[in-house]
Amino acid sequence: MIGFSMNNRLKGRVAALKSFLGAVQLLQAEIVFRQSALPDILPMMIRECSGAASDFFRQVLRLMVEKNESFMSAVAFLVPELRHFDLKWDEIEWLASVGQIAGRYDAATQADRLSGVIARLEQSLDQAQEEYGQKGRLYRALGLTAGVMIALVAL
Amino acid sequence: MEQCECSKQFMTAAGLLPERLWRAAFTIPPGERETVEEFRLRIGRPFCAVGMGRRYTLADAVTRGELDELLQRATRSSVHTYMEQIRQGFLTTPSGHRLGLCGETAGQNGEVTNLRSFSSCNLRIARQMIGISNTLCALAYPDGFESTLIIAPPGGGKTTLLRDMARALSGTLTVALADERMEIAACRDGEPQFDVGQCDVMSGGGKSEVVAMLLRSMSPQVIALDEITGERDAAALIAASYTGCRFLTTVHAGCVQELALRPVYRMLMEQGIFRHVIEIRLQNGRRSYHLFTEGESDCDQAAGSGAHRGIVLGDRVFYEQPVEGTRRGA
Repeated sequence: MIGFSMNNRLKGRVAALKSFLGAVQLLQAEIVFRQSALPDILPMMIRECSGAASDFFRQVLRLMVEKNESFMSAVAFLVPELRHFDLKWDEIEWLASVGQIAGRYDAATQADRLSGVIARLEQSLDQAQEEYGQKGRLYRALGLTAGVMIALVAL
Repeated sequence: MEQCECSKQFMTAAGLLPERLWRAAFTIPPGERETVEEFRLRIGRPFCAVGMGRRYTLADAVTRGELDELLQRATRSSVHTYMEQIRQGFLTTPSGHRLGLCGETAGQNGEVTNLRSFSSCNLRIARQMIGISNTLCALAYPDGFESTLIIAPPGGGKTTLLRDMARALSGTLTVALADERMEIAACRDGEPQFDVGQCDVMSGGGKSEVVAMLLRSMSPQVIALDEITGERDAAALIAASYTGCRFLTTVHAGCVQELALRPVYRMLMEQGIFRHVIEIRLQNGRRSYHLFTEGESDCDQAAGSGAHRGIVLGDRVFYEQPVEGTRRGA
């Protein structure tokens, strides 16, 4: 059980990082090329990025629309929610910094700073995929072995 | 209907204000809200509303936090979207209201590149007055539309009149709107927030570029555009006038005579682009419209219609035609 659980966590982390990376890339592209306003970009991010990023930015948009919060304060308020996506603390910090970048500067400055976040997320994703490739199989095998052992003991 | 529309515009403008100021705005008696033209916010000074020459002091000193909150709401947390407008000292909200900004300028090579440390702003409430141009249109264009210039001082109601004229003209002509400041149609996701009839709307962009684009793409008979200010705008209009397209536009001027004093406007008048000039005058909170038509004094005076006051603009003479009716408020 523990083996399968660990395997799922690794898998979930890869999926979450992929999802957030896609979302930040889309955010950057919309800011740079179309200079769209954040309340117009967020529905696109929710629609086009499945999983963790979609869930997170849906909550951000809800706070902005219903509570009239700024993007920055909505992201800051929801940062604790990012813990549920099996992300490491430094990854959560980078994602939280998106709230302090997006919508606060001219397009070029935002693009520059978001590129930094994207580079770090890409690096994290590579590591997470590598970790999943190496340890995932091990955890699955452990889980399977433990299951067989329990079955044998039970018999 | 008109009052209802005014009330809606008051509500959307007040909706941008931080909660304390929003509550204060609604202390204005309901019957007087339609006359409010703008809210004034200055850090450390009382929050005011202005309309019909009257000033309402609504709340105690405005704080920096409140000004920042208003800016965040007006820009929809997206400074990059409004950067070019902010650089020019204003921004137009999605509902069409204009937020004028004042603060410290940041510059490079002698040019203003940004505004920072905002100290005050005014939120001008955009109005739609459907039908205000009916009398003017009937009087000015009995034989079809001719290029027209609307003049008034700031806050005189030029854009409101332009919007209604464009709407009315679009019923029979192909009218394109070059809405640089997004105040005339206030398009949001391509949909005008104001009733501009059948107009084709191009939002944002410099006037000179947009006029050329509209001529290429939409074959307009009339192009309506707001606030001609620079030589580039005037040159674009002159160049486009050779295509047979007519113009409906506005300029800042206190009265018709001032047109002759500013080189850009003098250049436009000398080219003979405009056949009509509409002057909006403000007195005791009431606006009156004064129509000047090129070279129609003899017949009108002979007919005893009351035409008077010839004014020389460029090498052309414009005569005032009497227009009935004034309107109250914004």
